Amino acid sequence: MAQLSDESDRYYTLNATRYTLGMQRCDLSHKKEKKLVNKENSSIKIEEILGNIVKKLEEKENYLNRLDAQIGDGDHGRTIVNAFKKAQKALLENESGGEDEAGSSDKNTDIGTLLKRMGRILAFSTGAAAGPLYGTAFIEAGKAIEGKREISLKDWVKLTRAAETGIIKRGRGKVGEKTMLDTLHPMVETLKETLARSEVLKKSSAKTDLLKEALLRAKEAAQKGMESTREMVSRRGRSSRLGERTRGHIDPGAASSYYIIEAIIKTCLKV
Amino acid sequence: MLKKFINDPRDVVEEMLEGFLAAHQKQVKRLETSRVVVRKEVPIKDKVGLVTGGGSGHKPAFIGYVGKGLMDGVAVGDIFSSPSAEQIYDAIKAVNSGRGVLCVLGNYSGDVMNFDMAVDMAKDEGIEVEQVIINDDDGSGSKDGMENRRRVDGEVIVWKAVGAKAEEGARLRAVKEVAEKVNANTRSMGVAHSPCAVPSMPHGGEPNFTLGENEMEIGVGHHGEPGVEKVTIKSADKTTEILMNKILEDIPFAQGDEVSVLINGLGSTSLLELYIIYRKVAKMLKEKKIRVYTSYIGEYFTSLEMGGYSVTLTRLDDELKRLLDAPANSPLFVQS
Repeated sequence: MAQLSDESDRYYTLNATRYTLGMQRCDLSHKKEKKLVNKENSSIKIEEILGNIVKKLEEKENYLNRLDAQIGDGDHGRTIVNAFKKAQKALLENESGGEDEAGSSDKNTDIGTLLKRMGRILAFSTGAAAGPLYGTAFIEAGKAIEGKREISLKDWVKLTRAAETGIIKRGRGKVGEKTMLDTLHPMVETLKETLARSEVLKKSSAKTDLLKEALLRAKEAAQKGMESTREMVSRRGRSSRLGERTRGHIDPGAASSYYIIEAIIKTCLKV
Repeated sequence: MLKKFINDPRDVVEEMLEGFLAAHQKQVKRLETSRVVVRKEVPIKDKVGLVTGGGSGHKPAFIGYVGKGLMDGVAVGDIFSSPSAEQIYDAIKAVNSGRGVLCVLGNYSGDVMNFDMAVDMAKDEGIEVEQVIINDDDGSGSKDGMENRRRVDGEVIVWKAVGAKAEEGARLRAVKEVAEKVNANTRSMGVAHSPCAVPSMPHGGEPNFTLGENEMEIGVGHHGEPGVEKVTIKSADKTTEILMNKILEDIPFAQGDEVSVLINGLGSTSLLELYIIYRKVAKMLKEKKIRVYTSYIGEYFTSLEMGGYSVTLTRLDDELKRLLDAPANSPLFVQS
């Protein structure tokens, strides 16, 4: 697996062919010389991302259970690991079967469809509150980039914003209520900011890999967001009934969503 | 730690189900591919299908109420955790005879989201489905915020009434109206002096809330959610008076009303205590000239081993009286 070097930064492109998550190189100043690096090195398979999510969540399973035990029933780690394992298994089975529900081959499945498929498994087979929320996030993210085989920074903004909107709609929550939204929202905002900045940079001749920078900053923002829930009082879900007692503990949903975001971004950036 | 007789804590729901199904196999079965318990004879011809579900740990709820004159299918969640939309959808499909399906669920965010998705899926397939969300708990917010109020054991009265209504052959619309009527006329209030524990260790689990030696929590929720206030523990009469005053003023119940009374043990409060409590409830109702039409005293909707009880009053009209009187026969609720 190619490590990201300064040189490869510039042409950092990921393609979606078969179960791959493509990312469009964001170095806008190089538009004319849009070279793709070797597909083997540049494309990221969605099962690789899912594998890393599961690995990260398993690593944090007990910690998430303990966080949940402070303000809930202590099974969030287990629930979320099982949920993503199930999604992983179903996607792998689907791949070996080679056909999706429409009966067409998966070989040309786009990223949007893959995200939606993953979301449906999470949403419908997990249960608890986590299933519908995570599932909706992935379904809506997939819808936002329907048909795409490569995703640009603009697409990242679209898909994360759609995920956030989906969670708000499904859970009837808002930012500041000590939930996963407190992790997700700052990330979306950071991506939006970087995109706005890229419009300015387009006019100058600065040569930086904005997408990489954007994703690293987004990860940082998500982490800070997660940590910000420590000082919040829960206003949503079962823990909201504990009121002041929830202060001083990181929200388990905010934490698990950070680990998922971290795994996705790290896999995409190959860091 | 609170001690329990379990094997692997991760297996409690599966092992409980295995035992339950073995014990009651004449009446109920599990769907082959989904953790759903249904009446053996589903789908029942010309009858509206009735589905409920929620987290485990509330015996006899929910699966104890799968039977004639009660529920047709129950989606079984993990301890105190909503079943998945898929399970609920499987339950809806299994009980649908073509006359439509009513889902009855408690007002908890996980349950509400999963039922919402399941109902949407079923509707997409052309199944006629309706849902009614139960929120009978006076201990979880003021009357102005009814949408925030939780479900506690008032749901038992809803199951009994809609079960009888569906058994009479009523259409989906009419069955749903009964659920809404019972919910609108039911108020509950609980109290606990000791917590329960979700199994998480080889021989038990950590208590899910703490109360001082001489404390009790008024308005406690079905999973140990805090209620109205923590106060010094009082006698059965004084505690019941606090609960009853809150319940009576909420609808409000008035002189001349006829009610059903449910005194529900939350897990480790004895029947001896529950009858002492009913004695006080009956006295207070008599003073207020509210007539008790029927009463249920026992464990109807527990919270694992929580120490405490709840009182539920439902205002009845002729239809509800008839429906509560109708026979019912499920593994854990029998009425002839």
